[in-house]
Amino acid sequence: MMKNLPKLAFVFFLLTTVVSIFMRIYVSSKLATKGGEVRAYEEKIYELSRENEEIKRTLASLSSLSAINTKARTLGMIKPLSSDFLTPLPSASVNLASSL
Amino acid sequence: MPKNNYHDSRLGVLQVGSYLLCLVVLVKLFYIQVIQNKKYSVLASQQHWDSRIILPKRGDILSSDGFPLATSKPSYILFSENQKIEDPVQASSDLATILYEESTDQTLEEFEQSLKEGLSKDLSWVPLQKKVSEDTKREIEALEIDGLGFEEEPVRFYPEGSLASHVLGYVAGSERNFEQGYFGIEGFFDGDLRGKPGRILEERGATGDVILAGGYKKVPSQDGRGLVLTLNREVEYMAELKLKEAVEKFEAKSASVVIMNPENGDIIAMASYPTFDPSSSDSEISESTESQKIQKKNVAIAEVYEPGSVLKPLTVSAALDLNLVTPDSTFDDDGPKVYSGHRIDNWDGKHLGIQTITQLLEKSNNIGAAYVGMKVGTERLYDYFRKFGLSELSGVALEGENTGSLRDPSEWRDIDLATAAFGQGVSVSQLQLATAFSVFDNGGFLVKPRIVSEIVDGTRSIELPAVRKRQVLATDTAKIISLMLVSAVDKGESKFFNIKGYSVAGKTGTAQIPVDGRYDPDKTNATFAGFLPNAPLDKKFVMVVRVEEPESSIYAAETAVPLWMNILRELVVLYKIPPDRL
Repeated sequence: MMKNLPKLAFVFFLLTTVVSIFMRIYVSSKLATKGGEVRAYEEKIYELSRENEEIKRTLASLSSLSAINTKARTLGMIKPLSSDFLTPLPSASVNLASSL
Repeated sequence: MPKNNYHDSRLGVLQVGSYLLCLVVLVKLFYIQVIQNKKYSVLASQQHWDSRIILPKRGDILSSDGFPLATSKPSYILFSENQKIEDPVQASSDLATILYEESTDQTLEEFEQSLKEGLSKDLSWVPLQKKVSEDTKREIEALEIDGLGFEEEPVRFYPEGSLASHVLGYVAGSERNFEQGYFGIEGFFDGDLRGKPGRILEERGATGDVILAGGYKKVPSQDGRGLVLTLNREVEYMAELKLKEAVEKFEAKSASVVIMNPENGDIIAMASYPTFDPSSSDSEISESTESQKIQKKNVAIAEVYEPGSVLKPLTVSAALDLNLVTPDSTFDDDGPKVYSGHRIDNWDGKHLGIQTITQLLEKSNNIGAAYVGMKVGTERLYDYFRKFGLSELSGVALEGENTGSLRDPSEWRDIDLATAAFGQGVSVSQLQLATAFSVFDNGGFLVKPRIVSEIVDGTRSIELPAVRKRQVLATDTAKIISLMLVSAVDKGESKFFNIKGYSVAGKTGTAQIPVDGRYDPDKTNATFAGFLPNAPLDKKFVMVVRVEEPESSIYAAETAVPLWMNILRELVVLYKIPPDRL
């Protein structure tokens, strides 16, 4: 038994080395795959947020007052020139004078 | 034996040589690893680690309804790595076809030649074109030219075009090639808006490629904070259209308006005409001409001028507050007066005999204003002017505000007191006038003008509170002067333009502009400041308009007043303010 010890130790060392090498390759390939997936997700998020921003900018351009004004004019709309109020109204002079 | 000796000596030499060689290697290693450690560490990390800057998104500027007045959109710097370009001539020709539209100051041949020169330089990184749009980038990428790349460079985008450009300011490249805000909100809040750049560090091998399972560090960028303004987009838009019409109609140099909530100091609109496009390439500060720089100036805060008679209500209110006069007190307007050897007269040279203080405001009487000024006295009038906020920064969060000037009272002679009482020898900004008139409409308080109501930092928002600085007048005095100003509008020079159904409190000011040490009778600043004293509390506003050097008429009653009333006519509809008169 003692006689075979160096031989066993060598085999054990060899096996450990081989297993370690395979483990290293396995972990690296897993990491690379997962890393690729993470990067793909990150790129997807980035693309979607960019699209979102682009849509927001388009929306802002289309709903700007100058754009609405131009569109309204082409549709023949005009600005309201006055409002009609149906409630009783206070008088300026009475209000101010009575509060003094 | 001699042979052995010879052999031994050769071995000895070889041994000593080996030791020496080892020593040299050790010394060299010591020199590199210990003495020159820092230098080589830096060189090694530069070679191993690739560093890229992540630019932050500049914060948005929103109007009070949450609409983006200024935001950012991506654009790109097109660069080339010249050692990878196979055919610079073909590449420059292809690029010129796509990029030429974005370059305006060269012919196509000149542009192509400049690209060819760039692509032929013996450099590893050459910027070819700035501000390349997303669509153009896609077109260039479709060419599949090895050695071309893009670096993101966000640019400012203004969905409303030039709306509120004087308030917003603009963004341009600074000396360090980073975007920087100038003037207005962009300048004042540059530190908040710009954010902090981030960084990506990736470990690279000897070939320059990223190591698959190598080191990777990412310090994310921090986007700039967003700002919510108090500006009402609709009012701002309407006011700018009215200013443009007024400048054209009155053949004026410029026109400007400030509309402010007198209760909390919120600026509802602040506009000037001529205006400018903040996104145009001439926003580059170094390339701006003097006239372009003037055009970009926010006249309402940066330009101070002698306001003229629009300052009379301040003088009269001081006298009322000190109980020196009442609205019915009288003075004798019996002719021109002489103070410190200088003659003062009414604007039209007419004299009306016994007049009340209310009539002083109705007729804009200089003799009466000087009389009231004398009653108040130098020290007290100066103190009241200061309390009204003259000659001090209003505290509005905009870059480029001017304080105006009010000379030390120890320098005032009688003539200085008399002329200051009707707004000469004093300079103010339009915003200062708006805050001073707010005192009349809010019960006597000086408010700090507020243009930014909220700072948005991610999901957190910080509200900036409204500030009342001090009480200037007793509440009753404020009400009395408001009534007197209603009378000034009803019976004064502006009565022909008044809107039916509404009580308007206000005062005109036509001030000649000093040119070469004397007042030019043909050049005036026409101002009208006023408010609706009976408007509902949540719809109150003070509005100050100024028309600079109108040529169709030099008088405020014929220029600033119609402009003010035109804006009011639309404001009462927008704000749904009911009439208070039949």
